[in-house]
Amino acid sequence: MKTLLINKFDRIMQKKAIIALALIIMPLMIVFAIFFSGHSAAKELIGYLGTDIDDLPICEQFTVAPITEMPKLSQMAEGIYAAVVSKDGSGNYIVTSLKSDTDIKAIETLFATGQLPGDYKGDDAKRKERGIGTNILGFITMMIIIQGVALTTMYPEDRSSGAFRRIMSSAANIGSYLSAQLIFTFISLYVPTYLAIVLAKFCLDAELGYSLGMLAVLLLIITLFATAFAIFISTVLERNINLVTSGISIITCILSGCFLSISSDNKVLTATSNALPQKAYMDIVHGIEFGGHFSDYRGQLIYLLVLSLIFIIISVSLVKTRTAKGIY
Amino acid sequence: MNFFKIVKQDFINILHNPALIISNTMIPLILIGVLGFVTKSNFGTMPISAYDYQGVNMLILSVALLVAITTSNAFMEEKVMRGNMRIAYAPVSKLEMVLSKIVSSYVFVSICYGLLVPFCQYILGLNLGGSNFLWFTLLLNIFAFFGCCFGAMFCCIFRSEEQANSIMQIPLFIFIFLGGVLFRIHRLGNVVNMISNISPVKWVAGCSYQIIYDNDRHLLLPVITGLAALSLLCFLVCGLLFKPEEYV
Repeated sequence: MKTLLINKFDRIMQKKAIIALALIIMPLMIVFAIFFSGHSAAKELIGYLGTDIDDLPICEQFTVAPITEMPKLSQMAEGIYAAVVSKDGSGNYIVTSLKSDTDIKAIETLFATGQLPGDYKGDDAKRKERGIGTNILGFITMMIIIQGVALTTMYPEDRSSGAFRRIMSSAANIGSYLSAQLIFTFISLYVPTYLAIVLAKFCLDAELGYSLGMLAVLLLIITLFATAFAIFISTVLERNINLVTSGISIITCILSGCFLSISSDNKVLTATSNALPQKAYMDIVHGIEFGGHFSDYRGQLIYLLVLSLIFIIISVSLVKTRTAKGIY
Repeated sequence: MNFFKIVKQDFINILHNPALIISNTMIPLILIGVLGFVTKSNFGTMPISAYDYQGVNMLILSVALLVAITTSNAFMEEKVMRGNMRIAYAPVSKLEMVLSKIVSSYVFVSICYGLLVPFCQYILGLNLGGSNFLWFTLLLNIFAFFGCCFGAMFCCIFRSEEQANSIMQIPLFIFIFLGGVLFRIHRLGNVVNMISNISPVKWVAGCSYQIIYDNDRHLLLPVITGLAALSLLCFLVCGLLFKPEEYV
């Protein structure tokens, strides 16, 4: 197994593209993500169509500015204006916006009374409420799952080149081959990602939402899962592995709230989302950022670990039957 | 004549790959559904609902992300590589070989998205420009051609499917991020806005919004010209770097 592991590292050195991906681009994207999560975007802009008010309302969530002509619908779609307010003949404010009725009512109140309703939270406030750390780890979750499969590329390659069959007929067995691959994927996922986070912390002085020690543990959980998933998907699929993983991971990550929190009344969707492992992970991450403890999330932790284990067991047994049948 | 035979064969190869067919038809629809649902609370119903907005954005995102991968699969998938070797020995010029991969995947994605846009507009009832949807389809189509050339270029640079695919996703993700189709980036400040102009996704998204929401087509011609120029550039790089003898 040691030989196999060393062999993996030796061979990856030959693949400059993958090295560049794992050691340079992936950390860069993470630093990028951390930078933008902490970077405060400009407040949303409300345009006031008209010149009759001098003291436009001021509030924490929006900037109000006078404009002279109605912006085009495409500019609103691009997000240049969150809303446009004008006055009708009888002095009522009319709000034109792509936002929901709740937001429109809140903006009406802002103009009528000079302040937003007390319990109102715009999109930005909701994002902030989710926590910086949760946003960062949500993005990292997706990156790690996709990257994990990219780093496992040597395993399907061995199978198609016939090297796998030769290894199987040597003293090495399935267990040692797959363990070597698991360890390799795990190390090359975990180390650069964690280093990138540490780097971002010290160079950009970024706010992470967790202590570095806690991040190391949280990252460990998702990396374990991503490694097991990568082995599983590379075993089950024969071709188009990259394409299928990108599709699966983007969709499941959106559904499990890695980017935006999802709250819905739709039972089917809620059930699907709750069954996703990333959702369990996001629950842990969010809870811990706001002062929770691992013991509060035993269920989710066990779910993730059991699922990872099942992925590995299925992979091993699949490889066993296939080798026995002589498919490889 | 030879050229059409290769194109036909490449096209049939793509049709034999269920992952490619599913990802160019089902994935955009799933993305529209999922993201529309997730962002539903951020949008009202009129004049643009969450589904309308995500419909435009996710179609652009799918073309940006999936078309290039489709081409690189059509180009270098393991099963196709052996065939490529045989073509390399035949009296066919190497540019024809690259061009046939581009043309065959372009025909394939043109059919896929040519059907998807009217399907979304009329059967799912999304607002993709009403009677203007043909212009939007045309824009997506040209963008898809650029995607094909872009994918082929990465295949020629990296000479292996999985490397091309994994590296290619990085510039594609950057283009998509700067294009603002995943989330609006307008408020990230002037610097980001200025940088975002290098992203073809941004051009296509801006032009699509104008076509669909303002009924205004004056950006269409410059964007198409820009995309055509970039496609040509990618194709030239292919011509310079593609060496079939290196696959042996």
